[in-house]
Amino acid sequence: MHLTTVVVRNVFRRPARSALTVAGVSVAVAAVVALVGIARGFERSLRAVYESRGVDLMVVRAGSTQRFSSVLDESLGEKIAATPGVAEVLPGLAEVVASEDGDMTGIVVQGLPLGPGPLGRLQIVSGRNLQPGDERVVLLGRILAQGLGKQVGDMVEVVKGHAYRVVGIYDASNVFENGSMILTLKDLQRLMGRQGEVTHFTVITVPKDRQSVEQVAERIRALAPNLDVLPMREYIETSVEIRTARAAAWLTSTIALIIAAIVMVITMLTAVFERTREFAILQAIGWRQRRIIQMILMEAVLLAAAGAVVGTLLAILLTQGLARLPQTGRLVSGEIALDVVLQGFVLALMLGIAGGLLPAWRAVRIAPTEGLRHE
Amino acid sequence: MSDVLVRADRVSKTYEDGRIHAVAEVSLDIRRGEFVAIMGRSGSGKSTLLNLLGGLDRPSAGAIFFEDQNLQTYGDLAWFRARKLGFVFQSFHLLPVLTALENVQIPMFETIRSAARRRERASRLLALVGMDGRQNHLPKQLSVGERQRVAVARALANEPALLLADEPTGNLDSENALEILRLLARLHREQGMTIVMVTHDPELASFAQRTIQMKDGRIVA
Ligand SMILES: Nc1ncnc2c1ncn2[C@@H]1O[C@H](COP(=O)(O)OP(=O)(O)OP(=O)(O)O)[C@@H](O)[C@H]1O
Ligand SMILES: [Mg+2]
Repeated sequence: MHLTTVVVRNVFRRPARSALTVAGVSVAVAAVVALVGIARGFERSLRAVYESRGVDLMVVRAGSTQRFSSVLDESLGEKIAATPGVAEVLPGLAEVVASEDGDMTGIVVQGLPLGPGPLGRLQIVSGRNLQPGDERVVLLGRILAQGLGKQVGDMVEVVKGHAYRVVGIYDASNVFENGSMILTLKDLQRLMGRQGEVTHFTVITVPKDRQSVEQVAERIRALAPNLDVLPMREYIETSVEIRTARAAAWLTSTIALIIAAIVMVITMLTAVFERTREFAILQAIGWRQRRIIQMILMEAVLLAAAGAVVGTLLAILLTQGLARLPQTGRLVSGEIALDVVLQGFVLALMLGIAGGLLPAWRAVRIAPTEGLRHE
Repeated sequence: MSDVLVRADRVSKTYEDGRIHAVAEVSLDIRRGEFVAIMGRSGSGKSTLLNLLGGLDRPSAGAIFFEDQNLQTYGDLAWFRARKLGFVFQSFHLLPVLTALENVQIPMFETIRSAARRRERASRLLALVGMDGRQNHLPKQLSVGERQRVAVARALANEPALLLADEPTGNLDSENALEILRLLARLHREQGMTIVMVTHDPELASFAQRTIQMKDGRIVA
């Protein structure tokens, strides 16, 4: 017989209580794995927006934490275009508006230049794309159109008192674009009274190796004071949307983890209290405190590991379910990265150890003669 | 090697800030190979004395010498108990989730590394106490007399120098009680085991070579 045999038997001694502990841990692990996994999925799809266009660098006003608060002079685009190593540069204006018609708030409006750039590559699923000479017309993302209940030909109040006609509905491969609307850059500048202003430039460089991209970034930075020139990946990771999604995921996970830790400590403490005399016996017949602590920690870790397995399965079911639902399908990819699963297991392990330490300490704190008198 | 296995030298144990004198200035020698019974009324300090002799507790005053070494000099009494002591309790205290064979192996975790050797030794000990047919039974599947035999086998796990039994027959009917006493007497006779046993029953005490009477924490006879 090995110590693990004793551990396993002890865990199965009170199946209901052990199941409760496993459930507590599994909910926490499921929350962490699913939410962090979903947040990662967001990040991936946001990155896909720019990666599909081959964008390497993002130029914004230094210190602007949010895309929308950046203000740049549109004419800077020509200077960037003339920079060695720059293959393409496109201006972009992004604004956030609240919809009067629907209940959607904080809708992103993008102003894009006409031409073969991102606008040209857009997949139109209904109606048509924007054309030269278009005025007061708008393209809606698929999810936004659904949310607002608008179809091609309908009018949308982009800003109060300014109704635009929907000429097309597009389907981008990610949730962010599908939840936004697109105007021509000129239209949006006029509408917002921001003639000659943009919020950002996207830059495609040649060659694309890290060092060359960084050199181009350095050259662009020198063009004007207060420019932030960020590699795409970094720009996305530091964006408010991603940071918010991450923070929300971790906040929820932390709450779940704290609850799981409490469940763990309470059930383990109860178990240990019930077995007070048993620990006294073990000490009386020569077990060192270390071995008793080890046994209790192993029990806790075993329960936590079972919780991690169940929790991961729950998370997979949950994300797959969300991926199938029409409301959330575009938001959730349904696949969970291995390292997120690993994170869940590490957290469960930490839960097990943290949840086992107090009961273990409690178990050996009582002198054997005290424990023997315990009924 | 001295003839005396355990010596208590004016040992006292007080509780509740000295208001309770569970054991008061007891001096006592237990010789190697001796079978001693301790008797006395409830609360007279029998268990407390036994626990002090077995290093389960440290005295408030005085000293216990085991094989001429002051127990106070052991940093970890668990190490001492694992190798030198065997305990038998009134309520057996077997682990309910483990079989007879597994229960006997518990003390060996401290002394024998090989799981196979632990198992083999436990099996031999169960045979010694006449339980070879019930190795894979859980405690609840055994009669109370059988449980106490398993507990005796467990106490013998690490070839102790001293076997301490606190009312080992307290939960047994007279038939089973006699059986256990015969077992202890046989261990004493055939293996030269040193045994100190607490009992209320004069008939069972007569199995011992010497009987100590306690009253109010003191040895009176
Ligand atoms: N941990 C303790 N705290 C307080 N008092 C204690 C403690 N342990 C023992 N005592 C007291 O010390 C005295 C001796 O107790 P002990 O258990 O040694 O008696 P005993 O002779 O074994 O009695 P019994 O025959 O009932 O088992 C009793 O008055 C008991 O209440
Ligand atoms: Mg007693």
